[in-house]
Amino acid sequence: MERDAHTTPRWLQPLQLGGLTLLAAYFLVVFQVSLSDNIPRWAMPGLWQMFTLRDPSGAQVVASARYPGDGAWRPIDLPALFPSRWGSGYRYSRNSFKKSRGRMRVLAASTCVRLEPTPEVVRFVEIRWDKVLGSSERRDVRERELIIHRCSKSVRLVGGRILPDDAVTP
Amino acid sequence: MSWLQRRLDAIYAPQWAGGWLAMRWLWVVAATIQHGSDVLSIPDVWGAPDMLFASGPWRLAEHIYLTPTMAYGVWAMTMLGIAGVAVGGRALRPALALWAIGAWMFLGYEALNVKAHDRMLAWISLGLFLSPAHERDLTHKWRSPAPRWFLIIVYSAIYGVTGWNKVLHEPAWWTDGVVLGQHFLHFHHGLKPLGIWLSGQTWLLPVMTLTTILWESLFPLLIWIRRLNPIVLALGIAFHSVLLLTMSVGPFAIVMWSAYPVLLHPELARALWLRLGGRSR
Repeated sequence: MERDAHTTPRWLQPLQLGGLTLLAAYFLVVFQVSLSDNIPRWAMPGLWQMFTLRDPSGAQVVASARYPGDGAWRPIDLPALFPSRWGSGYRYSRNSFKKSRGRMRVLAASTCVRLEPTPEVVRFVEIRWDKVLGSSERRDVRERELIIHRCSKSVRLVGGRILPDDAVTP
Repeated sequence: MSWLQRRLDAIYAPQWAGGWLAMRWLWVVAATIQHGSDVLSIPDVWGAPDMLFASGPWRLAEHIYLTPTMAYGVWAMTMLGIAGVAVGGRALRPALALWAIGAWMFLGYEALNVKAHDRMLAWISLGLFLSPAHERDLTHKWRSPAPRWFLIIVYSAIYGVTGWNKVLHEPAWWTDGVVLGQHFLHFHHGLKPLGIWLSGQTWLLPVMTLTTILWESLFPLLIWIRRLNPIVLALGIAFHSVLLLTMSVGPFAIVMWSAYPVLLHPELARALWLRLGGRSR
């Protein structure tokens, strides 16, 4: 019995090779621009940087709430309030998220909406520590305030919805 | 016949296509693991009335507001696409398109966390789309090598660029293995018992570090050499297995492994298939 064998038609072969060469060239150019500080948007689909740099410190976001008539800060169980986590942590745990004032404002306003009863103020803090190789010990623990948000304050979301007015607790 | 045409005929000689069958099924497993549990996150993420974002090219939430019902519909569409890929045949390409629309609607709407394995699964799916995986009885067929070349280029990019970025961005990768040890201790994706133990093994870390960098950086070259091809892929299985045991990086390992049956040299893949008791004309 003859083998069932066929390949790319001859007329298409040069075009196909050209396309594959362009793909390889794209990845090479992306690699070149990835070495710079300003990475253009078109490079994103082909940009691969994983575990590239030193990461000497660990970080965690914690939050607390203050309720009307109570001066004390009460801890908020953030993982219970925003349970979804991807491999790299909770949605709010990436550095790019923490560095964005706008995103932190949305997180704070969403926290106000999801907490029952609604607090007066919520406060987000990043805890950072030095890692110790061979253990989960936290050395030189320090805190940095990320945001303090008054729950009565409105926050506009992308698409035009406003928190807390347009929120229904999920 | 010209010299060029003879050369093209030689490099375009049909190759055993059975690997695409294995890849299609591994793709189904990887995509199911990646998207199946998303349904549990709909009330918190895609169907939530708060926590809406837009960033970079991901601006879907500026134009569409997903209610929980709509979000469940998008998820169902994604899963239907995966089921269609499992069915295969003529359903394969429309099913891949359906999966792509659903999966990337979710990523575009969430706008926070397009992960490496999300992008990688998209590239792999494009390879599957261009491949002969829609045909039946692939273990008895020989087809064009071009779709395999596409995947080799994509894998060379992810492994090669990752390795060379380490070499050029962080010279400390070459020295004492501390960089790897520190990543084992990441608060979110690290801190697994094996990773904590490994991070303290000062004799083992440099060996693991050097192996990782050499394997990643040289992958684009070594994968083409027939004699080294299975060794490179075996190292890939070991590399991702260690990653799986030491770090929480989602379905990254299974996504990466899904195209390995095609990356394996087709004649070696056929020999393996026959040794496992499979038949091929």
